[in-house]
Amino acid sequence: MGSNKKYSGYKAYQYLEPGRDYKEFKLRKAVVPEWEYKVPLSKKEEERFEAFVVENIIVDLHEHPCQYPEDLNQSPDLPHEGRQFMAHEALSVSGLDVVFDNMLDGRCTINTKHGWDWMSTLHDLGMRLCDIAHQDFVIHCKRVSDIYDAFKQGKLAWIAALESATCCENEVDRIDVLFGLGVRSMGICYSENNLLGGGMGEMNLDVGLSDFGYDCVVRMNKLGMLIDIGHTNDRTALETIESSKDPIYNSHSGPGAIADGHTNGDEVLKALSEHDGLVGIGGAGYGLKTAKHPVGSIESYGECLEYCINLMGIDHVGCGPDSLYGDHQAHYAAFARRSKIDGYGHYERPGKKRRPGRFPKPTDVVDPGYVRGVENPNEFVNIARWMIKHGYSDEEMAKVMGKNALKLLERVWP
Amino acid sequence: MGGNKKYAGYQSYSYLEPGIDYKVFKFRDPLAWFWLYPLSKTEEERVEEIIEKNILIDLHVHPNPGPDDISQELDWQREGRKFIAYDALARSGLDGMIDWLGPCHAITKRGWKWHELIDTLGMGLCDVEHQDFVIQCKNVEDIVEAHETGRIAWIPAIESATHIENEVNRLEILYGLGIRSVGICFSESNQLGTGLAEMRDAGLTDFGYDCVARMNKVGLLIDVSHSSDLTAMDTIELSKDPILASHVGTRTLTPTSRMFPDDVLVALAERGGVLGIEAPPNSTVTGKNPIHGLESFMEHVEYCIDLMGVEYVGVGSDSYYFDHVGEYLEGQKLRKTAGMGYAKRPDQGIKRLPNTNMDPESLRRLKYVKGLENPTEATQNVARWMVHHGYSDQEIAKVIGLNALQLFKKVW
Repeated sequence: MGSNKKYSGYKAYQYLEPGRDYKEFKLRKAVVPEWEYKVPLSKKEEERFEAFVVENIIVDLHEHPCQYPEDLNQSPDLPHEGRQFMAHEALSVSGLDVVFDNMLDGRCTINTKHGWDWMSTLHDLGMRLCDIAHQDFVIHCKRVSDIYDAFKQGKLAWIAALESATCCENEVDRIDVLFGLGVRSMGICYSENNLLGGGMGEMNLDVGLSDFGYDCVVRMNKLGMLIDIGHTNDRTALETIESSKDPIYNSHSGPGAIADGHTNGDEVLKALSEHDGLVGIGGAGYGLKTAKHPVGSIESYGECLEYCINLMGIDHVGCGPDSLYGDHQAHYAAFARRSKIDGYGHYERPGKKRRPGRFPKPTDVVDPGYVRGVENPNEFVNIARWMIKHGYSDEEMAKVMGKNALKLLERVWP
Repeated sequence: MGGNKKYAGYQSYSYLEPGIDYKVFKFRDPLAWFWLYPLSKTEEERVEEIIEKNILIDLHVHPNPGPDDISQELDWQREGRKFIAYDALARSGLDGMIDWLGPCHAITKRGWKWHELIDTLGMGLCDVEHQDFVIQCKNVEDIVEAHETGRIAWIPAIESATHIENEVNRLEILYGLGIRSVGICFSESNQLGTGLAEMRDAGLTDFGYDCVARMNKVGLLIDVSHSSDLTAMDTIELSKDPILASHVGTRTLTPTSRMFPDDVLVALAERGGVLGIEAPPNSTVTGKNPIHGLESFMEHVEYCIDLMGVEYVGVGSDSYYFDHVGEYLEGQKLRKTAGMGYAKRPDQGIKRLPNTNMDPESLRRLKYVKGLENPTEATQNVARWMVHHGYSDQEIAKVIGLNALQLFKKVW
């Protein structure tokens, strides 16, 4: 990140009166010292790391950079309030220059139980933009030039991203509306199927891109909307890659060949790179689990990063950890608990087998309950520390931590 | 407007395929009735310099072309895409313009719905995002930058807060999505207050007050152009920030409910607000100048400068790039044929001030308001008229934009 950070102390929604204008939640501290882990570096390596972060444009392809409630039982209640509390202060020392904020995504349940509806999506976006409009450090990034400006001025370029196009229902024009309102990256579908294609969480993973999904891909190409295959199944991913005239990306994934978690198979990853696309290595709350590192951490992250670099080439890999400023695993657990009492209407489907984990955790390995080393957006730069430790050059690191993403945006955005 | 205009020929939605991605309508020439107030050679040179040096802002425009065949209007609205007449705007000299979204009846019969508004706003923004001459204006710096780089700052606004129903938070969402000014209500009442056309004036509601308070906190500029007298007064008194009457005039010269009485105008100015004088067909006709045009309009401007002070008057032409009279006449027809549910309310013994003269014959005779008919000519013609009538450079600069800019600085 360019030095000269322009953060002047702004806190989310401080132009309003808590309680009177919005329901207050006691939020957990953004970064918890007990959970911090930095890849240890020698003094010289430390100097190299500092210089690297200052000199290069650091692009985080997938985060939810907001504070979450201290009492995670309240997690499902916060979306009902319709406001996410961006962690402005934490972000100001994160080292990030660009962040793709995927907002409430699957938890965009502002107006409905299952979220992903048009009204809730607009509400989420509008509210976040109103917050951002009242301060000066985070800028709403809509063009590549905004990124260069942010870097020069010590600001953070904030990109509004949606993990799925479900809110568009069957209306292509809604993509135009979202683009106009400031969204610059959109997923095809979430883990569930929608009208565009098949999600990775379904029992039947054979569902590909629908005809309507194809219409949407064409429209997104015309608009200059970046397409994300973050939660699609592999077939939908492949068909999207084939159908898009522009290169696309998977903002948060990993190599299914060696990892459990949120992943794509080799075929998808190779197709992505062959079409000039990008994969952001992800992980979310449980991280990526491998045989060598059966508990998700910066180590398993690095292993997956390396695998993809070897498979796809250094020009086609980036980073999108999909973390947040709160207890991510407890957040999942809270939703799981509430789904049994809040009337979500989910049932155990006969024949739908839970995909067993391939890498059981040995009894002597500690699972801390979070992805150690890539636990929140401030640990993004830890990936650079890992890469230094593992012999990558500055040029290679610059590509993975930002330049590859910039190249993609330069090609896709208008 | 600064020279070096950056318009490079972009047409709305040219990143899409007509017919396939959007329904095509044959538009009327946006400048079919373009007319500039005649000046002598020296006056011409002077006005050119004034326009070049100063920031020009029209407080109320609708910079969209419309169908040649006015009977297609409803179908065109339903398409949900407003086009912008970029080439016409490039000839306007404007640096800033407030573009007021209204009913946006893309989907429902009476319009003014939340989802229609967001669709219309988003679609317009998408168009603007694909070119570089019109820039989305979010703050005062954007207007200054537009002036310095030969572009136009486009300020999205809504004529009435009807779309928010009874939800205060929606004001913030609108601000986030780009809206910078909100009218309290239209000529019909809504949950915030009484509209100017209503029989009984009950002023600002309690919910309306909650909205005024929230708009002050968020930094939204409040507009009362279509509010009743009491609603306007309540809003002026209760708003911590100065407010806007983007497109009105004086009832003293035009005795209709559409105009404000002197006490409202004086109160508006006393609290630092600005009045934009308007020119929709027949709105600002006067006894002295019964055919609506630049002369009757400038009578309003002069009266209000005298009453309120030159710092509080501006231009809010409410001009169109398509047939305004035609739209009124079509609207009158639709009220009887499009099943919108308008019923004739019997006289309940309360005397209503007449609204703007909408007699079809009068409108047909007028045809259009010469000199103030479209955004390209309106503000320029005000400057030209004022040059010819001996106003100073400073006075002209204030009326054609500086007053507006100062108001934005105080509120945004």
